[in-house]
Amino acid sequence: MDKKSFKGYLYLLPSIIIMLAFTIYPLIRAIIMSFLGDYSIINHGYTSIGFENYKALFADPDFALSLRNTTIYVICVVPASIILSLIIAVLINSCTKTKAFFQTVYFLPYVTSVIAIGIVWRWMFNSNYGLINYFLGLFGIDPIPWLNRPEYAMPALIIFAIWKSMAFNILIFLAGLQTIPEDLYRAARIDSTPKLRVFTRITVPQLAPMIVYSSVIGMIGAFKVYNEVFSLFQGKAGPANKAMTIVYFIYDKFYNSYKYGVAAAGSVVLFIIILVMTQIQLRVTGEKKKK
Amino acid sequence: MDIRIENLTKTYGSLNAVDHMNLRINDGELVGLLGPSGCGKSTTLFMLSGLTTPTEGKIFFGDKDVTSIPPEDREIGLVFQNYALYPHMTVEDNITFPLINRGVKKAQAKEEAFEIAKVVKIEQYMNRKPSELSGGQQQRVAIARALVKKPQVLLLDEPLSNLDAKLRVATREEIRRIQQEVKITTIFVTHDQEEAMSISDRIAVMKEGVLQQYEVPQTMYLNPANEFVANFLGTPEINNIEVEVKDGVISAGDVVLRRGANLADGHYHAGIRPESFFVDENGISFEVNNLRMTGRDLLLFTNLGQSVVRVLVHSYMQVSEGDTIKASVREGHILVFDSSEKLIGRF
Amino acid sequence: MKLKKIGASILAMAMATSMLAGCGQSAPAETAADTQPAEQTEAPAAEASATEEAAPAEEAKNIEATEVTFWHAMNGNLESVLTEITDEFNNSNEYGIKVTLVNQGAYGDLQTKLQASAAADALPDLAQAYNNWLTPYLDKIVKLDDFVANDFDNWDDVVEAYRDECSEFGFIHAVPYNKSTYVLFYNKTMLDELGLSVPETWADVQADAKAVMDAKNIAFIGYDDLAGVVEASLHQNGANYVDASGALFNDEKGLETFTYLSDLYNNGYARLVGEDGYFSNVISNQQIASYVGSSAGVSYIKAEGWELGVAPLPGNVNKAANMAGTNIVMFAQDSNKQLAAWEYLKYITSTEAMTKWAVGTGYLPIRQSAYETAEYKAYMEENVCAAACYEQAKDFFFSPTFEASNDIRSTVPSTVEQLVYDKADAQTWLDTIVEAVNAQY
Repeated sequence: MDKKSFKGYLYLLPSIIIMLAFTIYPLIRAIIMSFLGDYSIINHGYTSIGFENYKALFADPDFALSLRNTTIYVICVVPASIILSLIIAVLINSCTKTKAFFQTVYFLPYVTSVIAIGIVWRWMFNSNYGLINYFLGLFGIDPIPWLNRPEYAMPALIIFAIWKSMAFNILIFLAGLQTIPEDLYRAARIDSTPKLRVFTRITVPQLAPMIVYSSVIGMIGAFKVYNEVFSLFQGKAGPANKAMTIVYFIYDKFYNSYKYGVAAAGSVVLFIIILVMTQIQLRVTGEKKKK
Repeated sequence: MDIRIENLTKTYGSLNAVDHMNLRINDGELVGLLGPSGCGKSTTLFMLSGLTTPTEGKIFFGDKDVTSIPPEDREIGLVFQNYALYPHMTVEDNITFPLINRGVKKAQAKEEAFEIAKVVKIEQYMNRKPSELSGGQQQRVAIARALVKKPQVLLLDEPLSNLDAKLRVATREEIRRIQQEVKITTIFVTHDQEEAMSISDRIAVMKEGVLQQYEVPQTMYLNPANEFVANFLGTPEINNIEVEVKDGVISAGDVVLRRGANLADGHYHAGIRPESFFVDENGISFEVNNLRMTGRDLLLFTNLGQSVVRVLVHSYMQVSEGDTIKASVREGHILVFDSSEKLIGRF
Repeated sequence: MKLKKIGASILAMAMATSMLAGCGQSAPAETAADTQPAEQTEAPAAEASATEEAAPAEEAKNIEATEVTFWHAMNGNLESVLTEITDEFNNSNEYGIKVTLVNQGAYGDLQTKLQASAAADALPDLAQAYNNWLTPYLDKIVKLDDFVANDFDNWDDVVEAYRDECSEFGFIHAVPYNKSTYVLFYNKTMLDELGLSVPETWADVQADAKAVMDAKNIAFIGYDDLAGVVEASLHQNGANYVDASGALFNDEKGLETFTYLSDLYNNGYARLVGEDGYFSNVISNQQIASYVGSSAGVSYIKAEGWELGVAPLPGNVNKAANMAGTNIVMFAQDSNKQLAAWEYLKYITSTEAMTKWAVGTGYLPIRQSAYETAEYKAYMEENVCAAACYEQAKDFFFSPTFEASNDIRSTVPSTVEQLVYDKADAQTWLDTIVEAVNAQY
């Protein structure tokens, strides 16, 4: 290897070591663990090698529930978050005088502890004296038991999650909006472009790379949802555990049930799901960029 | 469509970017707004487009006062300095965009786009994206987009500054050709005097927001209204010399330049263009201190009184450093300015 | 190309190493997790680690000054009292032993940390732990039988249920420490106002509940621990709960129990805690007349404008009260540290220190003698909670640990919640809960 490449690898070595130790190695261990029946992390013993853990996994109704819940969560949260963030970013960007103020305000959720946010939202969702039911009441809607009944657990979680994830997306889109040349908007003005068309034919296509990035990252994060569930439902996974998500399931199997192999199998399944979804997403959007 | 600008002013804070400008442009004319950076030419152009609102003054398109009319309703086409083509749309989409916005049906828009594309000669690139075109081609697309909606006025902001030297010459001819073919009143902004001189019907020279002179190019060249215009036009630059006038004799130092000049006695600034000298046996003796050859031209550096003077001759002439040549100034080519820098006369 | 080669060989090495680690020492071996049933007297591969009984007892104890780490989950006031007692030990013991307290947060955090350290072989010398946390790493626990036999001040003085709990695995694996029990907290002012007496039987509960509902339209009772109430109610009705093979209550007694519970919920006499989080909040807002919770949680109740009463749990055929709270387990491997740690354990479980602990924290004394000290008696006079706990001390039962215990503990509450939401009848309750429990085996 020539000297230049060697130096390059040398500089990369620390990162490679860290990645091997904290990403690659645990990944491989998890995959191996998932095939060991009755595996114990304490004494590393196991009783069989095979698909036993996967069979147990797919026979577990909780896992099926968590798969369903997580999928619904991803489908609802990611697109809604991106669309709303886009609109808000464009609105913030157009108020030149108060831009800095709104930027800060809308970014606050990102730097606030998720536990603190959970406390506030729990208060807002309260069926008796919560802010949300108060506003619904103004429109004549009966109070909704958001956190008290299983059927409202997912909607509450999704609303909470959309709000929380907007902060980061707004920041990214605002940054992206700054990079759009002002002349494009002037040209659009001269061309008598209606406001909506400016948004759809100029702003959004210019922001396309950001949007793709946001949706891929957002989707990956959404599949791994845990903090939001923990925070909103005070450590449980919703009334009667009906808002259980995949990561919650894995954590529970590992630390509460001591079923390490099954937990590992669950995380392998999650890994594959995210891998596949990300590939699909990149293909669909990457096609246009490949030219 | 003729254009009339009355007392047009744009103030930023305490600075007058454009200062009470008055101008009248005839229908079908190609007018160049010329001046150095910061002189207010682009600001004027943008006020004509409607993107910038004037602090004072009025703009008329024909008989209509368009001062408070927004840009989208003014029927103008604007070509930006960096073209501002929509990068993710094809050339065809870029050109049809303004038409679609006005409700023209897609099929018809495509037809009209194709027509104008032929005029600017980019019809074979309709399916390309801007990033796949050269600078010159992109500019023509921008012009096509501006013209497709058949505006009354075409505005161009420094159309040639992003192109390389050779392309500039070809492209400015194209602009002229297109403008003549479509017969549209056109105003373009430039800082390049040669460019303005070569294609404009008339040039408006601006300095620090104030209109200096508005004239047909060649007339302006020979009769600059003031020292600024005289210095701004012409390559190589005009020679600025100090002259004394006594009894009608114009002299620089102890060299007599002209006799019988109808001019009051005094001390003046004068300008003589390098090409205004001609070889004359009976002329003044000049010692050549330095010379510079550029292909066709030969520039001789010499002294006239206290000033360094450049004399332009054809490169065929055999001259070396240190030689003495004899030359005179053509009649009427000594431009004399008064103390307020205005042209008094040509002698 | 070359990078691919390097990358591939690194991956191969990593895989190889991990396979070696995975195949480890005890290839297909029985893990401690498989060998649970309380009946088994022999703890399995547990022998391996150094559970050496050091030469204990009377001879001039040869203990060198050393540090002993003690992981706990006591917070707030509880932590201050523990610190105080520990400091006293540190300053007064003649060997120079220093016990270092490490607060690991809440029980959940402590459980997680212990698991992780067990895997990393980095367990502390002492730690608080519930029995059902210990199943994966039973073999790392030091057996205390010899220590207790030779060097403990009257093991029989310890409350029987606690002794049973600490011998569950066939050997004495812990000493009890911060014990509490479930009691019935009630709004004395409200009951007096409605002329109701404190319920002592299931029938009383139903009668009082109806009265409260008619008068105030609020629920009468709630249960912080839904798994606990199922188990306790079954015992109160003379039924059994679970054993190593599955649910034991799929019978008439079980059905009666769930008739009682389902009626309470379906009539609105009992309610779930829901978004309020804890019943201490609900009762503080006077939105409920009573609830069953741990005696250790009494300080969370804000009795402003009403008087708090505490009573033993109502029973039916029997009285049965859940025990709660952890025991202290020893993991220290070094024989000197074991002796040092034992000195500490003796100290804090002595009658005097135990009384101080109980009075300071509201936890229950583990020794009978502590209950009988003048100090504690005076404390019980003033403290209704302590008095109620003492009254039901003879009715304590402990919840045995099986392999499926943790899963049962986490699945029963959500199962019960769903039954409440569905307004299911008693038979459905019975069937669903039996099924949920058996599914964990």
